[in-house]
Amino acid sequence: MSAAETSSGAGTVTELTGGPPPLDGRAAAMELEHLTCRFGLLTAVGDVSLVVPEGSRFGIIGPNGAGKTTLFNLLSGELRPTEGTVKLFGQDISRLSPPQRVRLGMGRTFQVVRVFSQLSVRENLTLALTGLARSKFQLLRPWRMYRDRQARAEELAKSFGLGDRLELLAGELSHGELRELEVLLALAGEPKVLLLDEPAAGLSPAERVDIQDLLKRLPPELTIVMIEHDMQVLRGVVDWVAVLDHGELVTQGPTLDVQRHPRVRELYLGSAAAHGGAAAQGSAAAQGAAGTDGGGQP
Amino acid sequence: MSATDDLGTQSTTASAGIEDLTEAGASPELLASRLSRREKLVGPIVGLACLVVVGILLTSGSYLSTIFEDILIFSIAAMGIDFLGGYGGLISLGQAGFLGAGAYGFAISEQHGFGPWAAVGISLAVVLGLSLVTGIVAVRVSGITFVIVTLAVGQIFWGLCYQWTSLTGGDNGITVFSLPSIGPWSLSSTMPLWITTLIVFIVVLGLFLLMVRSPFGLSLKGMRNNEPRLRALGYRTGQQRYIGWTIATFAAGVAGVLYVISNHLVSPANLTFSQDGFLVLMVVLGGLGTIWGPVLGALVVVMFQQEISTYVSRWETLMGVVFIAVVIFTPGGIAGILRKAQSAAHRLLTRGEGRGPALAAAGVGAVPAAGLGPHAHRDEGPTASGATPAVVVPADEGATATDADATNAGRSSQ
Repeated sequence: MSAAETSSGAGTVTELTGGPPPLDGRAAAMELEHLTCRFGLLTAVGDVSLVVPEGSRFGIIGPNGAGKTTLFNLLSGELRPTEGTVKLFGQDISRLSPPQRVRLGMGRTFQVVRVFSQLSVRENLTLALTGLARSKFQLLRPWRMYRDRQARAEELAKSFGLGDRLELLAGELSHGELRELEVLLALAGEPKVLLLDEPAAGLSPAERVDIQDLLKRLPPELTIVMIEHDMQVLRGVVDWVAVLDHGELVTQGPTLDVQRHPRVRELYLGSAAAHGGAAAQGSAAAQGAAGTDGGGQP
Repeated sequence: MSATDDLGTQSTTASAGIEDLTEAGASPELLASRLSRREKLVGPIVGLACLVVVGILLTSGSYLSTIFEDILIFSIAAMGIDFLGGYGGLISLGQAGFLGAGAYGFAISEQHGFGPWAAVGISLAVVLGLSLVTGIVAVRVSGITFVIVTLAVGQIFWGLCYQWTSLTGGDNGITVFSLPSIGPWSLSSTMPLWITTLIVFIVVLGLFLLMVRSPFGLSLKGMRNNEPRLRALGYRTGQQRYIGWTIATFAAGVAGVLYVISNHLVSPANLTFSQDGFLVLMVVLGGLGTIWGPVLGALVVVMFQQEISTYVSRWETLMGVVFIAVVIFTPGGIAGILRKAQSAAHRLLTRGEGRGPALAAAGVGAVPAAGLGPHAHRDEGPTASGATPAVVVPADEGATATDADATNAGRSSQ
């Protein structure tokens, strides 16, 4: 991919080169090498290579159908890549199952909220906190007796404004609260890398601010990879953005620079591709080629 | 569909109820937990007490005590189905096969010259082995496929018992003569047998009640509710299923050993598909996802089989009608009816205390709602959704399909 060729190496990127983010002495939390996923003839993700430095806030944007969620599913293990590899702190995890990846320090949320809607918030958090403990196989001791874990659940809930919601069923929460709960579930396992799939989707402007605040308060050493459709949410949360279209990497760079990039503006403001869906498939090849050019020649 | 609405309305009442209580000056969490704890214990305690009293009254008449032994024995097997189905969302239609394996294990061991206690041990070991082996296949699938695979496993066991005549006696089955005893305490006499059955039943019931409250039980509920989320939290759901399957089928094996000791006979008729159907029927009728509900279900089903059948020749039709009525009108099964009755009683009591119109008004909404509160809800969730297809809150099509399918299968079996 052209991104690799034009690696800038310089610390400050004033003009968008499409190269990977500078590591500045940090380790690479995740490395995607020529990641490809095909469903029959459709290439959902095509030859994407990215480097996510440890502790960075990495955004992935792109119009509907750009392959963002597929890419995420490849990272979290819901899908296996057709080609290419995913590395987590240098270890190849391409063939590991989602629970195995969680064990290695990966947490994720889903675009369509996935919580245990029939269980209370407390039970949701307890499940999340027990996920990596041996006591998840404990059969003869009530889960409520694990005082430390209950205290931790209460603390987590309080820290994100769900303190008075503990006994409610998750299905009774508002959409904004569900999003927060989902992030909490992912955080409970104390991941080193947190994958957030459109954490602000379907939220009101006020709730968006809440979730932005929540994300900004996360510990700085946590590496966050975040898909977002909405540039506004990304701004202030992420420091580096990669742009996907039709499964290919268009370009990447610091958030502000990417925002000014003509190709990104086109994707978001004008072109037919921005409306995704049916129109996308016919011209996939041509668009993909255009995307590569955009990345190579800023 | 109606169950979805039902669930929704109840949820809103619950939260509204809690707010009402706050206004009335009580700590909502405290009150809710106190009420729900009391409510949770009432059912099992009353049920157990009734069984013990009736059982002791009946021990003189050996026919009726046999009926009550059957109720307890089938309850044990049915609780296994409920553990895996009502909590884990995996309805097993092969449970009778394992009950049969337990019974045949005992009978065949005895035939080959082992003592009664050794036969019990061998039988349980055989059941455990069979659970572990069949589990390898069964846990790889979920939803309707799981139902079919378990059905197939059960039918294989039945086929073996029916055709491997040199070992199983074929159609005639095996009669057992010598039963376990400790000194004068021999299971061949009525009273010790009845009490032993009751003790085993209470132990199994206690274990199941403990297990559904354990971290493992919680993870089963999570699996039923949203398996991908559970996997994303680090749970290997295959392992959870395997453990759940082993526990559920082992319970059936225990029931099988008790069955052959109580009835002195085991034949392929104990492993037929209709036996599987009856067991699932007990669970759904009693209340899926409650553990003690299946005990009530077993009571009703065994009563139909043994008592009502002497007066009504078409008792199976009658039972089918009762089953359909229960499923349509109270998706929570008999346990659901009892819960509703209890909250109605609560309501009456609260009103009777006459603590001012405001509180009484709040009480109408608040007390039953809080009583049903978050806790009872959780129990009711699976129940309701298990009983009526196409239920459940969005976000997990998988689990819904599982239950809907499983229930359909359960229904068609009766």
